[in-house]
Amino acid sequence: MRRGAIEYCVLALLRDRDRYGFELVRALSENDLVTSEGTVYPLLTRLRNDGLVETFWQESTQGPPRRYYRLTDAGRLALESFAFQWKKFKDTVDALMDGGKLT
Amino acid sequence: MTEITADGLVADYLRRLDAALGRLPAGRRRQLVAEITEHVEEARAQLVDPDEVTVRDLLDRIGRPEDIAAAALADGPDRRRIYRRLAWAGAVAVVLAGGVGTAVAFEGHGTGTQAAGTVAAHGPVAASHGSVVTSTSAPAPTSSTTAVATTAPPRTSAEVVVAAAPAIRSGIYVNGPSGTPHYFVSLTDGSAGQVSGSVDFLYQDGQTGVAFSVTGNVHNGVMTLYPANVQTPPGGTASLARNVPSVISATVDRDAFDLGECSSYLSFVQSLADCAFTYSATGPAGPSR
Repeated sequence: MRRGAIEYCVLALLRDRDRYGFELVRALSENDLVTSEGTVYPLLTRLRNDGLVETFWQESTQGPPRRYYRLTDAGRLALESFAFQWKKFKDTVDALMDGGKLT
Repeated sequence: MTEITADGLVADYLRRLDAALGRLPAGRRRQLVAEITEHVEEARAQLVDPDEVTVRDLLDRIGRPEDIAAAALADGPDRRRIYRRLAWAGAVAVVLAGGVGTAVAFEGHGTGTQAAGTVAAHGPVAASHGSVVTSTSAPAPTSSTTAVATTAPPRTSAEVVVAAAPAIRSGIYVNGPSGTPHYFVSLTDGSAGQVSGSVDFLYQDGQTGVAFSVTGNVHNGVMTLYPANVQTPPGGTASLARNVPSVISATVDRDAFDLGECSSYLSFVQSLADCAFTYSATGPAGPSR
C-alpha cells in the first residue's frame, strides 16, 4: 500500500512546481515516506513511461544542468482522482479505527 | 587522501549498482545509473564535511543496489524503447534528406520531452490509471517515421561520385563522449561546398532535441553557417540555444570543426573545449570513453 501511495505523493510534490530528482527524492525521505532513496528512481521511470510526468533539463547556478520532473495533464488528472478516492478510504478507515460504525 | 577514499566509495557503489541492474534493458539500466549518479553528486555537493563517513551515510541512504534493482524489475519492462528506436530511424532519414525539417521530424515522434512534451503528456496511460484518463491522442510513431523516411531521396551512384571529394564529411559530429549529455551537429555536404543540417542535443537518457537548423558553405577551411528555426521549447523548459548569432564561423579540418566561442549561444556548453566537434561514426551517442 505504501509504495502504491508514494507514486501519488510524487505527483502531489509536483503539483505546484517542477522539481529536480534529488530535490524530489529528499522531500520524500525527509518525511520518512521512503527508506531507500534509490528506489524512487525506478518509480519515476514508470511515471514517465505512463505519461504522468515528463522530464527536461534546466541549467543550474551551481554545477551541471539538472534533470527536472514536471506533471503532465494526465498526471494532474490521475492525482485529482487519487485524492478523491484517498479521502473516501481515509474517512472510512478513520471511522472504523475510532470505533464508529460505517454508514 | 580522505577525498580519494570518498571517491572510491562512490565509484564502488555505482559499479555495484550497475552490476545489480544487469537484468534490465540496456537503456533503462543506463538511465537509472545516470539518475542515481546525479543524485549522488547533488547529495555530495550539499555535504558540509564530505569525508568517507558522511559519504558512506549518503550511500546508505540511497539504499542497497539489490533493493533498487528489485524495485526496477518490479516496475516492468521499458515500453518506450521501441519508440526511441523508431525515432533514430527517422533522424537518420532526415540527415540523409539534407537535415532540413529535422525539427518537424522530432516533434512528430513524441519521444523527446523537449520538443514533444505535449504529445507525451497524452501518451498511453497504464492500466492502473485507465479509469482516470482514457483519451490517448498520441500519434502512432510508426506512421510519422514512414512519412519522414519517404522524403529521403534515393541514394544514387551519381551522388556518391559527387561526394568523393567533399569540403566536409557528411554525418554526425559530437562534442562529448557517450553517456554524457552533449550537443551534436548533423551535416550534409551538398555540391560546390554547400552544407546544411542542424545543431541538436542528446540528453543523458538518449532523448534528443533540436536547437536550430543551419545552412551554409565551406571554403578554404572555413565553414560559414546561417542558423534558422531556433527552437523555443514550451514554458519553463530551458532552451538548448539562446542569443544565436545570424552567422557562425567555424574552422574546419575534414573530420572536425571548431565553432569558436559557442558558449555564448549553446546554453549547456560550459567551456570553449566543448565547441570542438568531431565526426562520430557511431552517431549522436559519440565514442565511449
